Parts: sequence; structure tokens; C-alpha cells
Amino acid sequence: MSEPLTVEIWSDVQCPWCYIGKRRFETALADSGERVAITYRSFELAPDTPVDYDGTPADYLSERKGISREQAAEMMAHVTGLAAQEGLAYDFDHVHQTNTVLAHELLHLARERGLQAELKERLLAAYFEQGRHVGRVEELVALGTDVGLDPEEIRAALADHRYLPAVKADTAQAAAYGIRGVPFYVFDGALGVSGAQSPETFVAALAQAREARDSASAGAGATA
Amino acid sequence: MTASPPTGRPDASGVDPTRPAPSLLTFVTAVDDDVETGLCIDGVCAVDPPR
Repeated sequence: MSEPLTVEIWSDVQCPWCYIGKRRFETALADSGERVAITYRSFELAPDTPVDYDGTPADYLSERKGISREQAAEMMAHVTGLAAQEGLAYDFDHVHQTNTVLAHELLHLARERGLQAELKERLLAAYFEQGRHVGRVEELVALGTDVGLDPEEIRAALADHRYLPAVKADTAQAAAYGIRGVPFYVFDGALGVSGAQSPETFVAALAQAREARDSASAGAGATA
Repeated sequence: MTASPPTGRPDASGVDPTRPAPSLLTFVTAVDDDVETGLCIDGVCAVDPPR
């Protein structure tokens, strides 16, 4: 049995294409049968946003892009339709625009406990589908507990920010790579894919990464 | 100049300066849903999205 490919995925909890991309990548994995070990890396799309942002996502987009609220609402309706094609029920009427640094800190705790994949899915569903507030400590405690994390450990970690350096390291690595947008996928630390590509594209990327791995292994064997 | 192999040792910012950037796969283009949605364009959500 071959070793799984490593896949690092830079993304943010409040990135609508990241959840869509997650579903498409899952489809690709099912279609290809490829084995992978996924690590979610932190990327904050709006680190200057206050935890308790006083407005709707339409307000936020309107302010950020200098467009009308009606235009922002149209954009969100469009992405809601695209998400629905992947089986996701985005509900922007109840989304709480917020700061996601604590959610990223929690994802690093979950990684150490072997629960990162479960928490990533929980946070995305909570934010986009269930109107949960993923910027507040007690909400994060509840969501982390849902996937099996210890509530007291969550409170302690989010109070002393022991995983903030890991979040910042991911951000710095993204900058070093030249990553300016998410989702961004890196296969075996060598091949990059930008955006919520189609499952077919992800299947091709997985095949190319596997081929590169096998070629490297064959080369190493030939020189051994 | 010869490139050094990745050391796996991050610097003060958490970056391994010897780790090469990944090669962007050449067959990847804009996603099928070639639309702008808020801060996202072509399936990518960016800090400073292109206009």
C-alpha cells in the first residue's frame, strides 16, 4: 500500500468558495480513490474585522467593495446557488460576519488532537448554514465540543492564545509562497492548485502529484 | 548558486526559508463558475481581490 499524498489546504472559515471547494475536493477523492493526509492551514481573509461586527454580510461587502447593498445581496444569492449545486445550504440572512482568528487557533488545537477535519467541517457548516457565531469563545467551545474536543482545554487555549503563533506561521508561509487567495491546495509540498476547481481538475492534480511521488521514489531506488 | 535542501526548521516568522514554493499546476485555469461573488473571483477569495 502506497503512502498517502500530503495535501495542505489554506482556507478561511468565512470563505464561501472554500466550503464549495471542500465538497469538490471530496468528490475528487471519492472518484480517484487516492489516499491523502490533509492539513488545513490558516488564512484570514479579513483580519481587521471586529468579532462583533455590527452589520450583515451585505453591509460588509458593500463597505469593502464600494458597491450597493443590493449588488452585494445579488452576489451572495449567486454564490448561494453555486453552493446548492454542491449540496450546501448557505443562509446569508443569518451569517455573522466576524473575526476568525480564534477559529483558526481552535483548528490548530484540533489538529493536535486528531480532530481537525471534523472541526473544519463543523465550523464551515456552523458559519454558512446554521447562523452560528464562529468568532465568540463560548460558541467555539460548543462547536469544538461537538467534535470531541475538551471544553476546558478549548477555553484555556483560546484564553492564552497558545496556537496563535501557529496561525501566524501558516499566514507567513502563505505569503512566502505568494498565496493571495483561498482555497489554495499544495500537494506533497510541491504542486499547487488555486481555487475551488472542478472535481475533474482535482482528480488530475492528484494523479500528477502521485506520478511525481512515484517518479521520485523510483529515482531514489535507482540510486540506492 | 546551489539551492539548499529544505531544513524543516522555521525562522522567527514560522517560515522555512529553504522550502521552495510549490509549482502551480499548469493545467489549472479559472474555475467553471467564472463569476465574481463578493470578495471572491474565479473560485478564489482574496484579501485584496482584483477588480
